[in-house]
Amino acid sequence: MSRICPDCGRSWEDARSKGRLGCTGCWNAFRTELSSLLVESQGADRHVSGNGPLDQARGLRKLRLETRLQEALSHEDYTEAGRLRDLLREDPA
Amino acid sequence: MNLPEWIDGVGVDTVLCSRARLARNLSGVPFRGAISPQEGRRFCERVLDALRGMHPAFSPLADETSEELPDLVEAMRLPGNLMDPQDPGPWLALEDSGRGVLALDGDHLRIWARTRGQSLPEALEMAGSLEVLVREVMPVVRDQQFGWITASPLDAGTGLRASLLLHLPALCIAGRTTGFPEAMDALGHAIRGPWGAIAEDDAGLFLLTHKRTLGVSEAEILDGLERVASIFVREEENARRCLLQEWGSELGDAVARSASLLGSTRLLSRRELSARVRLLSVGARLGWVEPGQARDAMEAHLRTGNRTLARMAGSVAGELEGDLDEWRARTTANIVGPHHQSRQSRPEDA
Repeated sequence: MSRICPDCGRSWEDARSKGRLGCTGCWNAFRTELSSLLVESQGADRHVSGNGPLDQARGLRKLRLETRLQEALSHEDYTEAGRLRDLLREDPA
Repeated sequence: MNLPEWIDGVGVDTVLCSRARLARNLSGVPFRGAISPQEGRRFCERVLDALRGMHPAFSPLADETSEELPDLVEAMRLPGNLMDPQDPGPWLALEDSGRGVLALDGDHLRIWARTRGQSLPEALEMAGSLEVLVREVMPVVRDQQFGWITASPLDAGTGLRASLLLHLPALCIAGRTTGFPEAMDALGHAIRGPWGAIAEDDAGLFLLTHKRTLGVSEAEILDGLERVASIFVREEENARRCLLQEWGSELGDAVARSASLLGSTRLLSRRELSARVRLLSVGARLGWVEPGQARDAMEAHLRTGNRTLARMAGSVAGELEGDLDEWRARTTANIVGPHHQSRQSRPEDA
């Protein structure tokens, strides 16, 4: 018999067929089934990102600026390099 | 109706727009599909009460009762699933200047931001800033194992849905778009039309997104998406170059006809307008017409979707097809009229 979420009453069969859970409590109720589904569909069942999206975005933007600065320096474009260096100094990341 | 800011990149950019959306959910509230209409409305009011006044992005834009919903969907300011009759129920959209929150669109909260061009880190930074504010007042749930838990299991982990709006008119004209979904699937990404499945009347617009949200960081998701987008940018340039080399005269003629015709048709189908947008966009990239002409044609396309015109005409889409084409022709002429008298150069001038 299909397991039922105690919080919202949705069964695993129903959630799986609709592709949508009933509430956040379903994640606890169907933890084993969801782990298997996620390994199959996403190749993982564990979240890896430690810091939040804001830090990730700022880190990535800083990395891009640093790459462009190196490119500008390698092309001896010192005006662009100066502009990028200023942007990096202002960067909150 | 305000148009999205990316429209100014039509005829100039291949990546028109970057979008980042973060799904966040609360405990004790059923998801859409399981929530009652009354409870859903109460939840939307709770969201509005909690967020009102905190940030301009938390200003009400529309809800399930809004008459202008078709216009907002066809201008790509709200997702089309909000019009799905199979999935009715309350929802609330808060928005200002290309960033906002959608309450009860699948997840309890979808916090999103849209930036012009290829700028995913900036879009995620904007959405992330809003998310910090939302978390101050709404107790969103995070699971130790699964990360940010979501209504659909396929969005869990980061809860991030990042996407790029691509404009690929040359690839469409060259007939090189078949097989896109299969190719992207093999690369762990997905591509579709801006309003659903890929269609001929999408004016060369495509939405590129990722599949994995769990077991990868937000930065890795954005990085992968940008690397795949760079393939499309390169292929679009190649297609434009091939069209110019092999069909330069015919292409030049079709671009010139499009520039002249749009201000003077009496009947204009969505499919024809879409084809004219594609031709003018390629013409603008080749320097044959002003980018403003391609932009105006795209504006006409966004403002004359069948549902929008049907609402204006007070009828139901599909029942008055001929009349819709007449309305489309008139609306398009009003938008493109003044600009389309301007400069057109010959193919050999490019």
